[in-house]
Amino acid sequence: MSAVFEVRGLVKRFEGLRAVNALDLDIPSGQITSLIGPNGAGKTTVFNMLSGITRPDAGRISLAGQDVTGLASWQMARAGVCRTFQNPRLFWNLTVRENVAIAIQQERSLLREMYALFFAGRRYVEEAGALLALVGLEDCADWPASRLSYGHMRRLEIARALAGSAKIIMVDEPVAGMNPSEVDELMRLLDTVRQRGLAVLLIEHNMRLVLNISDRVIVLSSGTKIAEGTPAEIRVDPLVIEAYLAS
Amino acid sequence: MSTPVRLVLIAAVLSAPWLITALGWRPSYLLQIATLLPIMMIASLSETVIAGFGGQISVGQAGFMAVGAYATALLVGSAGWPWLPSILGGVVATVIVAGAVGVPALRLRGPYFVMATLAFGGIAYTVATNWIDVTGGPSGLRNLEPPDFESLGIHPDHGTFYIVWLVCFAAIALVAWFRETLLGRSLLAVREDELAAAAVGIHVALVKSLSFMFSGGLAGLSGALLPLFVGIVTPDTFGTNQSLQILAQVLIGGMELISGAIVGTVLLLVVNELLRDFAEYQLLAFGLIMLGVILFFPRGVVGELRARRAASGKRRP
Repeated sequence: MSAVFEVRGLVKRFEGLRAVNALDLDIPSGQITSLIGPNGAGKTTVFNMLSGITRPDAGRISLAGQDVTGLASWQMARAGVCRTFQNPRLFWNLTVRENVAIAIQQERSLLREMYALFFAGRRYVEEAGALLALVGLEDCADWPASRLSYGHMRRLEIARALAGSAKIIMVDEPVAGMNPSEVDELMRLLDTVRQRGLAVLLIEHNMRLVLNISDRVIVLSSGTKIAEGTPAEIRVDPLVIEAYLAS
Repeated sequence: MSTPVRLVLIAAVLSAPWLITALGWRPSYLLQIATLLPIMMIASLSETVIAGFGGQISVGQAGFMAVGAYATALLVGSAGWPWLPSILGGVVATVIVAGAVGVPALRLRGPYFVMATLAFGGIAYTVATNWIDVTGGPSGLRNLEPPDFESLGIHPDHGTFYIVWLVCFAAIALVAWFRETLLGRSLLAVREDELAAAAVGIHVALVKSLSFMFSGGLAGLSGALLPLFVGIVTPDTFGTNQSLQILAQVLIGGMELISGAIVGTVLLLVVNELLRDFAEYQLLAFGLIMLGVILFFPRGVVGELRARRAASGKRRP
C-alpha cells in the first residue's frame, strides 16, 4: 500500500489558535479514507489547505512523490487534487455538460492552453459526456445545472472533480441533506470512484456511511490526529468515544 | 434570434441606402446615423464581453476605442498604409494595450476594477489631447484619404456604410462564437464563482486576461472604423462620456445578451438623436431613461422580455 498523497507536519494558525496542528496524513490510491471529528476539529481547514485555497503555515504536501506545497488552487486541481464543497458550488447558468467540460482543462504550456481555450471546446464537450455517463447524469447533460435535484447536484460536483487527471478526490460532506436512497446512490458512486484506482478523502458526519464505506478512518480533534485505523478499530477506540462524547 | 428575423435585418441593412434616398428626408443625415450605428454596436459588444459575460464592469472602453482610432489613423495618414491593414493594425495595437492594462487591473474586483478602467480611459484621453507630436492634440488627425470607392462605381458614403455593417455582422458572429468557446464558458464560470472555478482547475487569471484583451480588441475595432467613417480623429470623441454611453447601451438592452447590446445601442442612438435639439435636456432625459430601465427592466429590455416570455411559456406549456 503506497500513499499517493502524503502530508507531513501540516500546520494552520488562526490568530494564535492552532486550527491544524502538525498533521500527518497518508492517503493511498484505490481506497476511501475518511476524516472525521467533532465540529471545529479542523477538517474543512485541512481540505482548504490540501486544495490550495488556504496556504498552510508549515508542513509539506506531496502528490505521487512530487512536492505540491503552496500551489494555487487551480494548479492543485491540475496536479490531480480535486475537491467538492460542503454546499454544492456549481456553475448554475451553464449546462450540466459545460460544468464538466470546463473542468477538463489540463494544458501544460501557455500557448497550448490559449489554443485550447479558443479552439478545443468541442473535444472537451465530448470528453465530458463520458464522465456524465459514469455518474449517471447523461440524460440531463443539456439542462442548466440549476435544474438538477440536490442529489444530482452532488453527482455533478463529483463528475466535475473527476474531470482532467484527478489522482485524489476530496469530498466534503457529500450526503448532508440527502434522503436515504440518495445516500445509497452516492455510496455506490464513491465505490465506483475507488474502483477506478483513485484516492478518495471523505469528510462526513454520517457515521453509517463512514463506517460502511471507508477503508481507513482518521479522527481529528482540535486540529490534532487522535486516532487512525480501520472502521472496526475506530468504533471501539476509547479516545474517539471520549472526543465525541465531550463535544 | 430566429432565421427569418435575421434575414429581414440583413435585407433592411442591404437596402437601407436606397430606402434612405427614396425617403428623401435629410438623406445624408440619416445615412450618417445608419453608419454610426454599427460602429457603436461593436463598442457595446466589447462591454457585453467584459461586463456581461465576465461580470467586470468597464468604464474605460472609449480609451480602447481611442487606441484603435489613433493607431489606424496614424497608419493610414503617416505610414501611408491602405485602410484594411491599418484597421487590423489598430485592433492589434488595442489588444496589446488591453493586455498591458488588464493583467494588473484584473487583480482588482468590483468597484476597484471599475476605478482602474475609469483611470485608463482618463489617461487615454489625456494622452490623446496632450501628445501633440503624435496625436495632433485637441485638433486631432485630419485629412485622412478615404478608400477609393468611386473607381469601383460605388458612392463613397455607401461604400463606408456597407463596410462598417459587414464588420459589425462579423463582430456579432465573433462574439457569439466567443461565448461558445471554452474561454467563453470558463469566463461565465469565473463570473459565477471564482473560487469554485479555480478549484476545478480553471486558470482564472488567464481566462480574465484573454477575455479582457478580446473585449479591448473589439472596442479597438469600433474605434478603428471611426476615422474610416468621419475622416478625422479627435480626442473629444473618446471622453468618459463615451465610455458611460457604451455602458448605458448594454445596461438598457441587457448586459448578458448579444441581442441586448444591439437593441440597447439602437434605442440610445435614437434617443440621442431625437434630443439633439434640446441639448440642455439631453442629460435629464438620459437620467430618466436609465432610472426607468433600472426600475422596470433590471435585466435590460431584451433580458426582461426574454425572462417574461420564458415565464409565460412555463405556465402554458
